Amino acid sequence: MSSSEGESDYNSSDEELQEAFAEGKLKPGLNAVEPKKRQFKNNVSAMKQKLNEIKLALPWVERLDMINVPAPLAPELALQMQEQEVKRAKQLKGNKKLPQYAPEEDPVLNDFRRETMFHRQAQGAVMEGIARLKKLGLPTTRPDDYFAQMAKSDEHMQKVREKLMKKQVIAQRSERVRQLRQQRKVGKQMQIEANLKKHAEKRKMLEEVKKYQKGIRRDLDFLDDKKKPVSNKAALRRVDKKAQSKLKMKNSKYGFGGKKRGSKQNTRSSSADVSEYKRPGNPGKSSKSGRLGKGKVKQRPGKNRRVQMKSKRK
Amino acid sequence: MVKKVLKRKRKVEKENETKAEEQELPPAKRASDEPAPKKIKWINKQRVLVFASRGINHRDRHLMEDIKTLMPHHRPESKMERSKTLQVVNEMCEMKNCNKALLFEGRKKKDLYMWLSNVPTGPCVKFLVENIYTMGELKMTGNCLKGSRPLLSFDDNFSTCPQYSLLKELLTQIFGVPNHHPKSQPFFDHVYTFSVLDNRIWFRNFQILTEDGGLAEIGPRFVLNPVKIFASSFGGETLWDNPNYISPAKYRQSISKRAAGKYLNRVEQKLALQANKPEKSYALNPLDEIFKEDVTT
Repeated sequence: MSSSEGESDYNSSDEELQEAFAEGKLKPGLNAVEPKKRQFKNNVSAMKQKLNEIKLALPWVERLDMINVPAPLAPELALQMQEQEVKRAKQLKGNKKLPQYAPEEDPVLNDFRRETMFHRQAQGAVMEGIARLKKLGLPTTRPDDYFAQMAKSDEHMQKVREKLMKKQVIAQRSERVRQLRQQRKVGKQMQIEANLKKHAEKRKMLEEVKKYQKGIRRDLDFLDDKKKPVSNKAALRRVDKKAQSKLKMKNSKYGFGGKKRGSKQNTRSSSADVSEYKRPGNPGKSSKSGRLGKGKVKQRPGKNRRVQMKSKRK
Repeated sequence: MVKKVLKRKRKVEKENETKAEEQELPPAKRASDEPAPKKIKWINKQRVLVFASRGINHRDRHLMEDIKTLMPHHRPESKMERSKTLQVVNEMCEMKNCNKALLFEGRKKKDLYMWLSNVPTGPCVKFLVENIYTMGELKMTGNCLKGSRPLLSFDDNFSTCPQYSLLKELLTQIFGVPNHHPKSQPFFDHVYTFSVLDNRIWFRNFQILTEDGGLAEIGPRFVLNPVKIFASSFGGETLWDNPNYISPAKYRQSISKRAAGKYLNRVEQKLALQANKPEKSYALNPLDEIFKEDVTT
């Protein structure tokens, strides 16, 4: 930057500038004018003097001024504030287009917080001021039969009331709609559950009927009484032994449950399984080999006998 | 049963009596022969001239009307021509027998300035009034007697900073309704709060619903941004300047400048891109292409 001399000579002729440069007052580089800084006045002593001059030496009743701190936060107000804070945080998080504040600016720009602060200050003033007035023995509240002109007209207050009512109605309606929506959601869920239950019962019933048809069950108790699991068990205990064994046999023969297709096909493991293979013995000594060797070998009857047997069976 | 009811009745009656005694209502009948009761002393005789200069908009005018309804000790005055110097106000106050002045000065139908002055001797303050909500606003649900005396509540800053303590005295004398003012009411049903936040004074007016702190806002609302404090009334030496004050015109200018800068910036960026764009994207060696195919095949 230039020296003070250079600054004052900003509009001077070239010669002067050259002289200044020769003297070494100007340095190479950009020489710019420094903007003059505004001096802000803050004459504290004069202000104090003025204050003493104009101060009215009157009792407090004449002035009614108070310096007071905000009243402690009422619990319901604190709760409301917390809710508001959460709501606001959500709002700000959800929408980046909304102006994002620095936290130190928040008390100024956060309407709810700011207004609550003023409200609390007023509360503090009321509690202090009313107590002081009562101590002085002055009437504070207006009796119910004291009528006088109000600051706002009745007409205006009617408007205010109407607006409040409208707001309340709107809030109620939105609340009801919300409840209905919730109800519908729950109703749908319940319907689905009821449907499932119905289906399950039907399936169970059909199973029982099948059991009866196959002879596992003997009674038809399940038809008339659904809510007797004990008797059901008893019914199951009274199972026909013969039918059961028959069922078991059928199951082993035809299979029960599972996939049937391809179950009898050879697989790699089944074809590789040679556990049942027995090496054929010598044709002459066949009677001596294996378990059958000890007992009588059952021989196939001859052709004639077989024809006879067949005809007899018919 | 009957006895109990009777007892209760008696109790209620007793309570009523005690209440009546506390309130000290005036006698129902008064003979005309008696001398009129002596008027109670009205010591604090403040009279405030409330008026505006030409060029304020409707909202500001409504604010002025609201302030007038809340201040029974005001004197009205017709709008002042803007060409006059503000020194004239001192004479106007003298003629109207006022010792305080509250002048609204509008600029461009946009900005509102408020002058508060202690007339013969000063001091005098100029405020920029921001964020105005009048009493007509429907969201403010409170109401109060016209001309009842407000409690004035100031926050801590008014006791610590010298400029604010001076302002406190001025605000108290102007906005406080004098005790026993003939147009005032003898009850206390609203409270003004003046709080300093963000280097501004925020004004709120609440109705006292219950005496344990139930409040409803009456309005008006406004924010006073102090500009300057002068030693005498509408003139004289400057006692204090607000270092944080930016005039609304300047503020609007800065916004438009910023918007203009956006376009310039974009143009410059485009030019810079064109100027700095290299002609060749990559310095290729032409010899590289000779052995492009595999040599071995």
